[in-house]
Amino acid sequence: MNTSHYKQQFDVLKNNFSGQIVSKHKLDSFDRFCELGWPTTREEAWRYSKINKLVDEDFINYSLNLERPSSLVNANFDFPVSHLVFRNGVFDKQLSQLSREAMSYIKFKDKENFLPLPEKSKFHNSALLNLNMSFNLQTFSLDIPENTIVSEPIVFHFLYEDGSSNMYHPQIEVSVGHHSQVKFIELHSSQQSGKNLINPLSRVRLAESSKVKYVRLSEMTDPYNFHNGQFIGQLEKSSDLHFVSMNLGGGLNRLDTEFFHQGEGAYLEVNGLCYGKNKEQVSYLSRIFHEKGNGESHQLYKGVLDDQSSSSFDGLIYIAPKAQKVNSSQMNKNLLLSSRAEVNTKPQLDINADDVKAAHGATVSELNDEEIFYLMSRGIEKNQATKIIEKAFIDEIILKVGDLNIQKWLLKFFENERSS
Amino acid sequence: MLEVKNLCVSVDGNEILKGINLTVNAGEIHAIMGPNGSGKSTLSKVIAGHPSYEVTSGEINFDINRQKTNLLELEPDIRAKEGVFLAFQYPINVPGITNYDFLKTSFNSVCEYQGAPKLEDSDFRNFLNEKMKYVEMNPQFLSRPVNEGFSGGEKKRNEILQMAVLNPRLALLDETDSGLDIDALKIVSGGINKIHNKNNAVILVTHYQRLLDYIVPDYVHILSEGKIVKTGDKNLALELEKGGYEGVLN
Repeated sequence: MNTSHYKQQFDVLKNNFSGQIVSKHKLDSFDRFCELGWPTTREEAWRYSKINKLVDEDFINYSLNLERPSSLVNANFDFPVSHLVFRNGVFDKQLSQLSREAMSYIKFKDKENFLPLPEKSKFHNSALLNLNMSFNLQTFSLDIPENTIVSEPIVFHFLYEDGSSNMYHPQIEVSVGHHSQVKFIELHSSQQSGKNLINPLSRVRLAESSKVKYVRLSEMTDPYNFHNGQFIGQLEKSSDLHFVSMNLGGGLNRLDTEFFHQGEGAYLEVNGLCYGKNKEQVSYLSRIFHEKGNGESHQLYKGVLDDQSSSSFDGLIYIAPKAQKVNSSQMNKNLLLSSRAEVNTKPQLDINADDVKAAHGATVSELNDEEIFYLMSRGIEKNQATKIIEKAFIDEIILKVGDLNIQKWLLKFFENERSS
Repeated sequence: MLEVKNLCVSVDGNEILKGINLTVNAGEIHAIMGPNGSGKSTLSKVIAGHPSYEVTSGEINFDINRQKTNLLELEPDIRAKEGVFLAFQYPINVPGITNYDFLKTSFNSVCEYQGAPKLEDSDFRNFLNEKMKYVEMNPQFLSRPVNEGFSGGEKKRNEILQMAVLNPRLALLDETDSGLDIDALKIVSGGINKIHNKNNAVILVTHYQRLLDYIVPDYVHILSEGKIVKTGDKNLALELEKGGYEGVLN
C-alpha cells in the first residue's frame, strides 16, 4: 500500500477542516489504518474477497469543496417517504425531501466523530473501518425521540456520480428513543465506472422497547466498483430490529454487520440477499453478540450466483456465559445458476451458556429439475419456469421486510434488475 | 386420442418399461394398477415429458388437431399446452409464488399458445372461483405459496384445481388418492368426475380399489415388471382387491 499517498490525502482532509483541530480519534484511526494496511486473503474475514486488483489504485478522498453538476437519478419511490439524498457521501439538503417532523430529528456532527464502537466489536481491527473513521467528512446523525411513531419510512439515498479513483466514507448514526417505531431504507447506488471505493458506516441504536425495520440495498454497476458497507446494530432491552440487506453487483460488494444484544429480551431478525452476475463478487460477514439473555436472533442469508460470480458468507453467533435462554438461528442458502459460479460459506457458533438454543446451517444447490418440470407440466416454458423459481428464491427475503410498500418497491426493483 | 406403442423406457441404464401398448379414446377412464416398482408412475411421467427418463424405443402418439403427433418430440410445456396434464404423486412446493399467480400464469400461458385471449384479474378470479367449488377449496389457499405448508390432502386437492383450470384433454393422475382420508377422497374424486366428459380422457394410476368406487373406470390394466400383463373392466380391480396380484396374475 502506498502509505505516503494516503498521508497526503489525510493532509488534504485536515486543510478541508479549515483550521479546526482534527480530533485525536481521527488521527488515531488513520495511524491504525496505516498500521493495518489493506486486508488480504490471508485474513480469515477476507479469505474469499479478492480485493488486490480493486485497491491497487491510490484513491482520492472525495472533497466537500468539490463542486460538480448533479446527474441524479430519481429513486422512484411511489409511496410517501422522507427522502434524504447524499451526493457522493455528503448530505444534500436541496435535493432532499422531508417533512418538518423529519427535519427536527436531524443533527449534524461535523466536528465530533462517531460514538465509540462497542467494546467487543471486531471493527476495531478493521482497516477499512479505520479508513472510514479517518476520512469521513461528516457524521449524519438522526435522533428519533422517545414514544414516537414515524409513519413514513426515512430513506438515506446515497448516489455516487461519475468519477474514478474516488473513495467515499459516509457515516450515519441513528438513535431511536424508547418505545418508538421507525423504518429506514439505506440505498447506495453507484452509476460510476472505474475503480472507486465506497466505504460507508452506519449504526442504529435501539433504546428499550423500540422497533426498527431497516432495509439496506447496495447496487453497484461497474465491475471495478468496490463497496464495503459496515453496519452496527445495538439493541437494548425488549427492542426489536428487522434488518434486511441486499448486495447487487460490483467488483466486490461486501457488507459486514455486527449486532449487539445489550439488553435482555431483544429480538433481532437479519435477512440478506446477494445477487451476482458476470465476475462479480458479493459477500456478507455477520457477527451477532448475545451479551444479555432471553433474546432472539434469526438470520437467513441467501445468495443467487450466475456466470462466474462468487459469494461468501461468514457468520458467527456469540452467546456470552450469562446470556441464558437465548434462541438463535443462522442459515445460509445458495442457488447456483451456473456451473462456473462459486459459493463459500462458513456459519459458526460460539456458545458459552448452557441453556440456549442455537442452530446453524448452509445449503448450496442448483436449479431443481423436479421444480422446473412441475412448472413446465403446467404449460410454463422452461425459461419462464427458471425465472419463477429464481424469483421465488429471492422473494423469500424481500417478503421478510414486513412493509407492503417497501416490499412492492423491492419486488419491482429486482424485476428490473433481473431483466437487465 | 392416445396411442402408446411398444414403449421402452430406462433410467440410469435400468429398463423400467419394457414394451407398453395402450390405446385411450376420448371419454374413457383407464385405471393402471400394479405392484410397487412395476413402472406405473414412470408411464405417466414419460407421457408428460419428465426429463429423467430415457425412451429407448416406441412411440407415444397423441391427437393434435386430428393428426397423430409423437409426444416424445414435444417439450413438457408444449404437451401441457396441447392438453396433457399430470397430477403429481408428490406435488412440488414452489415457495415465493402464490397459488393464484401460479394458476394465472399457467392458464394464460396455455391461452396464449392456443390463440385464446388471456384473462385479466377480475375475469380470472371469477373463473377460478367456479373451479374452486369443484374441490371445495378455501380461497385462502390462493394467496399462499404453491403447496408450501399444505397438508398431503390439500396438495392433492390443489392438483385437481390445476386440472380444472387447465381443462386438459388427457389427465394422468398419479396416485392422486394416496394420503387422502375418506372425506378428502370423496371431494377429490367428485372434482375429477365433474371435469371428466366425453371429450377428455383420464388415466388413473392407483394402488387401491377404493378410488375406483368413486371414479368408475372403463378399463383396468395391470402393469407388472414394465409390461401391461392383463386388461379388463372395473371387475378386474375387484378381483385384485380379493386375490391380490398373485391371485390374479397366476
